[in-house]
Amino acid sequence: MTQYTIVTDLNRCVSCLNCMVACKEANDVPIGNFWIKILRVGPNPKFEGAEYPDVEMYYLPVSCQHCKNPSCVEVCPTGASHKTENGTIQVDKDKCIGCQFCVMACPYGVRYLNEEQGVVEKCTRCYQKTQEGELPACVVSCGGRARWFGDMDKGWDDFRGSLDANGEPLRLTDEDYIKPFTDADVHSLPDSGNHPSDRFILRNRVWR
Amino acid sequence: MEVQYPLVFFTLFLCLSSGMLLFQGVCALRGAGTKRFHTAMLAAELVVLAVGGFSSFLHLHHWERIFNGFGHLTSGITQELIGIVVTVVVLAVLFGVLRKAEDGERVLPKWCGILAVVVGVVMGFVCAHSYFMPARPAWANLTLYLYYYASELVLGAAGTWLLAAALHEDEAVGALLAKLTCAMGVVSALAILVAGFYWTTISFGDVGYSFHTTDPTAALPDPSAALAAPAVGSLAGLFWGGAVVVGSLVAVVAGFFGMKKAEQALPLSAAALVCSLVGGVCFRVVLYAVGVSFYVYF
Amino acid sequence: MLGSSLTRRSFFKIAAATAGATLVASEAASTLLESSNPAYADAADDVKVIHSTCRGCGKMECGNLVTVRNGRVVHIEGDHRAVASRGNLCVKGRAAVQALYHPDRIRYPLIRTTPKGQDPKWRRVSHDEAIKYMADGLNSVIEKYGQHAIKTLHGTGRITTYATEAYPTYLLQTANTGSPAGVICKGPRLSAAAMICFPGAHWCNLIDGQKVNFQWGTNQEVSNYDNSCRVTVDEHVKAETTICVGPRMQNLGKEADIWLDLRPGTDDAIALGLLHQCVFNSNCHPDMMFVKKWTNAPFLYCEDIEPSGWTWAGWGDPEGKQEMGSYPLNVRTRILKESDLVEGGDVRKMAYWDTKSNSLQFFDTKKCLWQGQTEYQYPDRDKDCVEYKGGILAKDPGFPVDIDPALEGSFEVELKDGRKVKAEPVWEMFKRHLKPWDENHTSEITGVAPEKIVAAAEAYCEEPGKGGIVFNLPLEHAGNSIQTSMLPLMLSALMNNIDSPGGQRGCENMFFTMDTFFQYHIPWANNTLDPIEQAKVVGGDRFPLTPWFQMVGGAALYHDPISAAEAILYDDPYPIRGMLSNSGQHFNSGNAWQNWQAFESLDFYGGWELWHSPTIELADVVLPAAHFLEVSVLRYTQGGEGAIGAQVQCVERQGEASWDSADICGELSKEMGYEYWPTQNKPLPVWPDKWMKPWPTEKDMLDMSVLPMNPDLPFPISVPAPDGTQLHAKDWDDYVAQYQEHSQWNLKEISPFGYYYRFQWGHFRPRDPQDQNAPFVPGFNTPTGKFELLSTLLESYHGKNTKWQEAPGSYNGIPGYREPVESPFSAPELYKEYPIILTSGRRNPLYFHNEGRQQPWLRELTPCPSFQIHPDTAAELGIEQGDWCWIESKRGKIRECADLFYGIRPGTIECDHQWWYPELSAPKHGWDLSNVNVLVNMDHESQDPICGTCNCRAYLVKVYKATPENSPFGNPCPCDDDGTEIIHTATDPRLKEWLPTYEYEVV
Ligand SMILES: Nc1nc2c(c(=O)[nH]1)N[C@H]1C(S)=C(S)[C@@H](COP(=O)(O)OP(=O)(O)OC[C@H]3O[C@@H](n4cnc5c(=O)[nH]c(N)nc54)[C@H](O)[C@@H]3O)O[C@H]1N2
Ligand SMILES: Nc1nc2c(c(=O)[nH]1)N[C@H]1C(S)=C(S)[C@@H](COP(=O)(O)OP(=O)(O)OC[C@H]3O[C@@H](n4cnc5c(=O)[nH]c(N)nc54)[C@H](O)[C@@H]3O)O[C@H]1N2
Ligand code: SF4
Ligand code: SF4
Ligand code: SF4
Ligand code: SF4
Ligand code: SF4
Ligand SMILES: [Mo]
Repeated sequence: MTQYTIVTDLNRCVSCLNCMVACKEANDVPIGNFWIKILRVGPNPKFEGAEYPDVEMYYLPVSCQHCKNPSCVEVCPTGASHKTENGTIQVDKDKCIGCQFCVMACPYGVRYLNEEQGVVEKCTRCYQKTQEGELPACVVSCGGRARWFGDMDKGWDDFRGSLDANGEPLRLTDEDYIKPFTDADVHSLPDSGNHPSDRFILRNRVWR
Repeated sequence: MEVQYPLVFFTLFLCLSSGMLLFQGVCALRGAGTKRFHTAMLAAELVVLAVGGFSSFLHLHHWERIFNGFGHLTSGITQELIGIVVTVVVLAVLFGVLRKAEDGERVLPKWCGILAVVVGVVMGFVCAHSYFMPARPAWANLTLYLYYYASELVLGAAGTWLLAAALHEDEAVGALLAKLTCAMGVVSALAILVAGFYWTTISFGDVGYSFHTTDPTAALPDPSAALAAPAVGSLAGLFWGGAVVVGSLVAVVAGFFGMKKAEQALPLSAAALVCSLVGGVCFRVVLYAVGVSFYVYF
Repeated sequence: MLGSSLTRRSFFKIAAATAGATLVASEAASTLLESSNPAYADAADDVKVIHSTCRGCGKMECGNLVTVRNGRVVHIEGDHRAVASRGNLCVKGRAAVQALYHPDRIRYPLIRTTPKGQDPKWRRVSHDEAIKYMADGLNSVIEKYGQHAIKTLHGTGRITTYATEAYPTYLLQTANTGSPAGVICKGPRLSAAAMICFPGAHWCNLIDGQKVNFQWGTNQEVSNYDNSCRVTVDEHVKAETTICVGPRMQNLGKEADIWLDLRPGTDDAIALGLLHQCVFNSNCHPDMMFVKKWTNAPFLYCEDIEPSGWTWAGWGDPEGKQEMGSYPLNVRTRILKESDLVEGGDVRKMAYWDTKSNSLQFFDTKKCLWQGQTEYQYPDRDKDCVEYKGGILAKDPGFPVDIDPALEGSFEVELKDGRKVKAEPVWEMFKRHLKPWDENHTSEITGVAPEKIVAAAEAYCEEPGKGGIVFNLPLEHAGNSIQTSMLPLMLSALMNNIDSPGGQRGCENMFFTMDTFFQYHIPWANNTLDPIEQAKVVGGDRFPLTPWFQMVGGAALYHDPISAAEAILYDDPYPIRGMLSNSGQHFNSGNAWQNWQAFESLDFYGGWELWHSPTIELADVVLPAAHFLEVSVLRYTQGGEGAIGAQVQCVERQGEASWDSADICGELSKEMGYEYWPTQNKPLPVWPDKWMKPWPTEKDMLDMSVLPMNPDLPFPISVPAPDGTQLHAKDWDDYVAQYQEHSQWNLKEISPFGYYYRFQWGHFRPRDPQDQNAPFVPGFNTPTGKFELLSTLLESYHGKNTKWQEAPGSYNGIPGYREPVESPFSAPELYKEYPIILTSGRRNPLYFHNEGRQQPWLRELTPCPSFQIHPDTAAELGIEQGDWCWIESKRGKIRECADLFYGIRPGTIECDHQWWYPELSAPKHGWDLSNVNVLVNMDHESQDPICGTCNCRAYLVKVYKATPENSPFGNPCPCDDDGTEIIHTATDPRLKEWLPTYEYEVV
């Protein structure tokens, strides 16, 4: 089995917004629409009753979570939305009728109707690139080297990120770049039964 | 979520059509209704279904592809389409039976009544079920079914009554339908109240303060306020005035008076239908407004 | 002549159109540019990946890879090999294609047809006509009012535009030159550092790593100033401890171990508090050897003598024309000198007390020799040095003679007039000055909890060598820019982090590094202005060091914009009637309206621009500037990372766009009737004549910029890299070809930047220009030759009883604290009406100051300006997230929308800066609707008393919700004069009209 996944080290994400524009460029996303968005979470009080400056915050890049049990696929009447053998969820634009039920069914609002084409689209996990063995645009271009791409079924070792000076992608297991983390530091977006596959690493902070 | 008007009208007319089918079945089971009435009912159901179907087509951007796929059974739309096809088939069957029927005691046999009721019940379910989405907590619960059934029932009763009145059916049939309209109005009001109350009890995950760089003028997401808006907030007009009073209580009152005043049946039933249609639109609009995502931040 | 041609529309296509805007995937898919001629890939179906350098901002030198197909840029990505940027390419760099092919770019020369202040209704003219118009305009102003009646307006700009800020000095000989933005940005830091050690010392080389990553008043992960986002995050993660200083939780600051959340404008106070800890806290261990040997702390100071001194000119001839970095200053100090003690004694020998011999001795500040020392001491390559990250790291061998200068005590000395007086080491005064700044006092002023102050100091000062302090812009923005910028440097110095790995390494255009290459494209850009004329710079009467500041470094070439506006408006002290601008805006400084009115009234104003940005709409003539993807130029890192590379022209220039600087240096000076371009006055004698072109073309200039790399150089360049390596390039094309292969060079490997602690090697002081064989002199290029804890220049010009304002809070030249002019403490009455402290300028990753507002990929990501406010404060004011609000000072008001931010101190707001709305009409394009500098003072009181920085952060405002009742057009959202709303959502259809066009209109 393969489950292509993006892991984001939220302690390294600084909201440089690179991923947002790199994605638009690589995938020709229409103006006004986004396949990945950064949400600023907080600053919030560190603990109940805490006040400024006892605050904490993180940035949350959210693109399609390529769910294990994707609600979007479940509701799609045409089979346009489907799961592929690498675990990613894709929209076959030739089949899509633009009914937008998938848009309603996705808990993370990552889909939208492309007005010009009359079909729904979203993050493809840079299908055109990953098929060729390249990394997704938001991963290579990530300003803070926060995003990592790999096959979750193969474990953390498989994850690669931005390039080093020799053009080799760095590894998530390289502790020069990725500080140690425990299972308790690994999170996913709230699940409404869709079982999101993407993961977020957040150390020393409350995941909200 | 933004209101999808084509879908509002689609489900509205789907409910009306299948509600009428359901009550036609009830009449058939009771042996009520003339051949003319049943024929007209079938025609009306077909027309209303077509109008609904048409409005759903308006929603699609590539309806020409609709016949390609449609094999995906978990999808509510597929189920709806199947339901519609089944309905049309059933309508055709009933029409066939009717054509052969003599205008007399019982124009439609019992099994036809049962068939119509079953289809009506199934369609109510299908209609609600396609919007049952865990991603939208306000939708993913029993109140959704409750409401769509209520909507189907009140629309169906009022629609059937109106046709009966227009065709000057038996006073007894009229009285029965008026009574049913009255009762269904009560059911509708109750279903709406239950839904409205239930929404206020839904709790959401909360990340605290948040900000989207792409939308600096947006207010902080407040899903609980959005869900309380119908009961006590900005949507109270649509909810109380539109869905409860106009959409349900008018039917109750009209049905109540209609039971006694047969001569007023036509205007009363017309009022009941128009108002419950209006109320149906109001409530569906409210449904979109409360259909906030379970993860509201995107 | 093309004449009025609004009727003659035609279309021009850029290259052969290819299907759609599909982008070429990436480097992997294409071949690298191989030809030695890097000219743009314009043959059909040609795909080239060109190694270049991004200029999407005026800051970092991020290496990039530009994919060009059929003569069109189709994709840009970061160059992972680039040592300074590590593959970083920010949104601005990526979206540069949307600027390059923007439908609204200025592509032809234009002359206005309406009076200033109205929509200029531009008329297209030929390039030659525009140049002539500009030449005549400038000449007529000079004829009538003299050379100083021309001023420049230059902002941060680009390396490619720097000639325009310098050109008027070299050629027109006006003192009112440079980049007025420099007075609020980088200038004060460069100037302050030049006063006490060396210009640019605030820059750290993060790529070397730091044990303590100290981010003070900077947001480098967003600003890329002057370390790229990626490097900043990398090194932040690797550091043992991280400290962040600023009034709100920052992007990377969210990860800081210690956050000093000070009240805006109190950086000087927190610095004094940290210095107090460093000196008095027993858990702090400053490097006392550095203090004794390399600072002026041991010099004896005497309150009871009259200050005396000499004329100090760095190097060069104080009487005649000046070399760069040189403007004669009168040093007047109360540090005891031999001349105070003995008749005929040397004024440049400064007294210290040697505890070994228990005697008074002298340090010769001219020769930089201790008493008894005859030869310069350099670290021993074998004994003292190790290799470190490609450089040479020396440990300090200690005193060259057997002395131990006293830092403490009080000594009685007899003056030459027989008086017996007490003298004490500067260190004693320094300590006395710091004494009151314990954690409690510091906390009262800054609002930072005392234990955090102690913790930060203990973390940083646990042992020497934990790395430099990265401090940037905000320290310059609260009316005490010079002194505030000195203080972190002192803290860093006490911990021996000056020019250490990860320390204050400064900029590369330092003395000897510079010999590796020339200043950008303006070879021999030596100031040729007579000091007497130089002194006439506007504002020089109040800020007497300005002419000297104008010498000490690139962006420090500034004049005071407020004084300049007064000269324009009131002829005070003399009229300024003409202006030349490129890459600057009237609203960059704290007198936006004053500047607008002033520029509107100029007799002549000519400029270069890419956009119809507001300021240029006041010009008489505007020439189209080439986009950076259309220009080649030598590029080396501004900050401490140490890299050199090239910006390579990737595509043909559109329309009649031209490279501003080449045009100005050549065509304009020719047209104005000058006989030769600027180099004529003082070509360095050693350069062969054949290399000196009287009217260099653009190509000549590029070739000249790499002349020091020429293998046929008739003399050796001053200092190669520690291992002898240096770069060789025959000419520009050769250099670029090598760059394609190699990517950025690490300056440590090819230049004297490879030595750490260059003060030990003598690379921080210029060599005697007359003597090529003179030895390198260890020490700093300051009047005392030391890192000056007591700034003798501050003492001389802004000390007690000088003609000019005393540096507030200072102590005999030791920098001090100044409460912001408008604060709850300094202006309690005002505070009642304006109860909110405003700070501004936090960088948005999408926009470079005013730029980018018309690029769809950028504007859609943040369509309108916002300010951050604490939710409790917002609640008190009835403000909710996303509300448009009025922000009002006693001088003006603007609207931005509220971002409820729990991480900013209550009662404080942080506003976006530099907003205007390209979608609104000329001439203002709505610049006054949301631009924060509408709110600022233009009174003199709030300026920095030493260099004139105007107050951009830390002043008082009130904030209230914008409502239909209190807003024009009944619309809380800012609108144009006709009620048209600004773009404030990502889905505004106007954004799509700004998508790239490959067929632009020729009007
Ligand atoms: N994207 C982008 N990048 C840029 C620029 C741009 O416009 N856009 N501009 C470039 C230029 S010219 C410059 S000079 C640099 C500037 O960049 P930096 O020097 O990094 O400075 P800022 O981002 O202005 O401010 C840094 C932080 O200081 C905080 N701050 C505000 N007031 C105070 C204060 O009183 N004291 C302290 N300690 N902190 C305070 C702010 O909250 C902010 O987070 O950025 C450069 N880079
Ligand atoms: N309140 C407040 N005010 C501030 C700041 C703050 O933090 N707060 N920051 C200050 C700082 S640090 C700075 S540096 C200044 C910046 O202020 P400015 O340097 O004036 O910056 P911009 O507004 O970006 O203006 C640059 C102009 O140059 C043009 N340009 C770009 N490239 C080229 C080119 O190649 N050739 C030519 N001819 N023109 C070009 C752009 O279109 C733009 O109009 O603002 C300062 N103002
Ligand atoms: S995130 Fe949404 S669109 Fe993506 S797979 Fe999950 S449900 Fe589908
Ligand atoms: S919009 Fe397209 S992808 Fe989405 S559910 Fe409908 S057919 Fe499937
Ligand atoms: S994986 Fe590709 S498509 Fe998905 S968000 Fe990243 S860049 Fe966009
Ligand atoms: S590019 Fe990386 S660091 Fe930047 S916002 Fe996206 S995820 Fe965060
Ligand atoms: S920081 Fe500046 S040089 Fe670097 S990529 Fe961004 S715009 Fe380009
Ligand atoms: Mo700046």
